Amino acid sequence: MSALFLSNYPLKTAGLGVLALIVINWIVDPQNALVWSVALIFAGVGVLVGAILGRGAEKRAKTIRASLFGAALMMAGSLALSLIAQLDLASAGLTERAFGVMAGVMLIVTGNFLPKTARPLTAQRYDPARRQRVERLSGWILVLAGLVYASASAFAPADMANPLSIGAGLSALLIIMALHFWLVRGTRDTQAPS
Amino acid sequence: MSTVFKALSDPTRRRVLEMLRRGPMSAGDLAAEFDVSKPTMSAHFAVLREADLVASEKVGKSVIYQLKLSVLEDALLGFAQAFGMSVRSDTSDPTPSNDKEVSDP
Repeated sequence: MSALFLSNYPLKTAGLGVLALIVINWIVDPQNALVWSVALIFAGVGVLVGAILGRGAEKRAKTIRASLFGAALMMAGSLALSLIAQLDLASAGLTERAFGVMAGVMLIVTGNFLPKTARPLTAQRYDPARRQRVERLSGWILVLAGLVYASASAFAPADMANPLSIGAGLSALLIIMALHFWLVRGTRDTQAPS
Repeated sequence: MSTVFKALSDPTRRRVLEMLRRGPMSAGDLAAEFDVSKPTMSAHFAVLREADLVASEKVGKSVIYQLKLSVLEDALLGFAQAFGMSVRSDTSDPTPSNDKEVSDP
């Protein structure tokens, strides 16, 4: 029953729920905005990808639901960690590490499913073979970056954790941008047979 | 997940996925690479579709297949290729019972 609810909840309600969590997060811990806004950007990209690339209304809604669910989970986690720190139940350092691990896991999950978004060949603007290679590589890069991000947040010395995790995230982003630039520059040399 | 393991347990299906790594291909081009009957090949494609490892699309008169592997499934495929993962032939062989042209183990 709960699985059915999770796969069918109304999109507008979910969007409003995420929005409410953002506002509560902002009120409780405005200094944490930079950290959770990064997670929200990834969720936003997921919603956009779902809305633009999804095959059919049902598939689109499914992808958007998953992204909103991920965003809500991140916001709820961030809120819980902020409250734990404010109530002195754990040190600020520990909550920061926990959030880093959460962000790393989100990168891993996003990267894992990125190459699984197959688009109709007739709707593709770029060379399908090249697009497939770019998405496969991007997925692997995001997963590896997520592993580094989560591991650095969890185990690296306090002064090294942030440079290592942010460095891994930014490097992955730059490589993926370069790959997509290569995709856009390429001509469509693989035509779908008619 | 069991459908994914079942799909990856067969060498023919793994080779189909390897070929699709180069880019989308038509069912005819894929089948031409294997010495198996059309019903057997169709059954292999059906197992891959059921496991959501490939997406198929009708373009004109051809059915085009493209890869739909998550990073984890991609890693599992590499693992299966490297260590020759297989299951008993009675569970991995999708060939219809009236088809005698089976060359896969």
